[in-house]
Amino acid sequence: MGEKILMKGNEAIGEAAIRAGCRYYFGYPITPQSELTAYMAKKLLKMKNAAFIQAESEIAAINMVYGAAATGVRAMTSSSSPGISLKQEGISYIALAELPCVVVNMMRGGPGLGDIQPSQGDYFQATKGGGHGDYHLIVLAPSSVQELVDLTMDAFDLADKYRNPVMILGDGLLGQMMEAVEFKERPKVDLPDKGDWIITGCKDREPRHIVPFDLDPSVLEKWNYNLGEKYKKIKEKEVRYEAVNTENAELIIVAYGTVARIVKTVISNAKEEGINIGLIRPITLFPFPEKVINKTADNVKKFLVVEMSLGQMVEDVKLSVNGKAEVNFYGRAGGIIPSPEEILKEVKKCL
Amino acid sequence: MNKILNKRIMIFVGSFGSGKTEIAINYSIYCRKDYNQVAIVDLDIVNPYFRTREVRGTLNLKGIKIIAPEGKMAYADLPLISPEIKGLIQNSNYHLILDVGGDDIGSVVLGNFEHFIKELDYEMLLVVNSYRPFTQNLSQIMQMAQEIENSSRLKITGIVSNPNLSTQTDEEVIRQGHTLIRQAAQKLNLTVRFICVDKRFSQKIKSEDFDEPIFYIERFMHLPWNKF
Repeated sequence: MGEKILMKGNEAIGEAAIRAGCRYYFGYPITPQSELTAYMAKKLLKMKNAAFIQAESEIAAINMVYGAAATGVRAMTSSSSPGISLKQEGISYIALAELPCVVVNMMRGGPGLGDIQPSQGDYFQATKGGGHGDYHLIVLAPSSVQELVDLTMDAFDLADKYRNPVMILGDGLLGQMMEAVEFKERPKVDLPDKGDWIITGCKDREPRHIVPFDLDPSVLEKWNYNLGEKYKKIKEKEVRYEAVNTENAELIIVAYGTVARIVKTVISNAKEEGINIGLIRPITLFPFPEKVINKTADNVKKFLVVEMSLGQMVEDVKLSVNGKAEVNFYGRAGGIIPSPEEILKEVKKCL
Repeated sequence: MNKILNKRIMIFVGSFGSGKTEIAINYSIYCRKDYNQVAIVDLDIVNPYFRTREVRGTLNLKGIKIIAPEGKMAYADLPLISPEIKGLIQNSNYHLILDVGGDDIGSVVLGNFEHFIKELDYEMLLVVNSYRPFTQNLSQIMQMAQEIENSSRLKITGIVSNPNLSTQTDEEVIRQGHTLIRQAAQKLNLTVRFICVDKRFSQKIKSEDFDEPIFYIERFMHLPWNKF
């Protein structure tokens, strides 16, 4: 057991990354995630064989991650919504180059410059690729500061395991709130050796290249098929979710991150009024927990998806339910957080 | 609490996330019991959320004046300093509580007022929570105190001991944390002016348990899933 410490979500991600062996951070400040950049500056600048760079832009930062990851080190960048949009070209390159890295998005109100309040408006961008081309990130959606710690550490392992960029998709509230956390001893994970692909100087061996580009379409198609195979494997093996009170529930709410936290309060408030509802909380947004949702739809005929957006994850829930149950939606946008009371009101409307 | 804290201007500084805002709000309510004209100034130029301005309504109802960016600007993360603050600092009828942003960066704003605050009847208290990342041991706390004094150009006059792990706080957490904070205060040649204890412990933790006065704190910054 490690000691408990009171941390802001953004700081907790930073500490977790460092403890997971990340020594290379490249970023550009943006509210509401700047504490993460500040934390990495405070810590990494005092460490040996480490680098912290506040880049000239988000575009520069993601390309520094690209370069660092190509040498085999654990590298990370972070931002909030508008800054993540700027990073998309680099993320797409990294996806085809099959380089492991971690990208953190603490979402804020959008579109455009939006505002600086919490939001979940970047679900499509995170789970459906985000940049150009056929690719996916592994997307993890924490719901507490402790989970920010645990999933950030897992993110580096998953990135190395699949040579794929992993995104931590949080929001401003998770970044700013403070909770006690613990940095637990983690079991050793067997990860593939990077020795046969990293670029570290070609003395005594043939030069290597990491180039996300090939003029021959048959080669590029093959690479796309390889990526497709990889995503299939990820979908088979890496789905994570939390199910709360799903037995005998009259209605299932599907929500992630901050909203799932609020829904847990809604479940107990509803119980006091004699209404029995459950929650399925996707922890991985890609791969999406399709199977459990589909299976649950055999018994529960009403679903309510709640998001801090005008309806994005609801599309994946509808695909998973596949017509077997009614799927309703409730969302707030622009940085407004739904209250437990208004969600319960929506539940009652559905019943 | 006894009347150790009778200075007209009370400045709360400390590391980022040490608990200044909650303490400043609670202290302004405490202060209002004895004085008619009390104002709290939200000088937080660092944090984007969980700021004094979020409880404007509650404080107004209690007859406490709040100086903070208003309207749309309340949601900004810009270094906005109201021109009203200078007037209030010099108005001897007002008891003034300054809630300053975290770390040396947040304290920079005090430098703006330093030349006339230092002539006045003021107290600048360093809020310390020994369970926060950059104030976990003596040398870190000493460094934090030094950095804040450097950037604010004002001397810290006392310590507020605020050992807590938020909802996971228990009596042992408070006791252990306070022991460390007390040692830090001694090293800094300062006294601990009071210990903050969440009011949910008011039956369990009594003033006779500590040498310093206990200030029971009610939480005003709520998370959206909290029941209240």
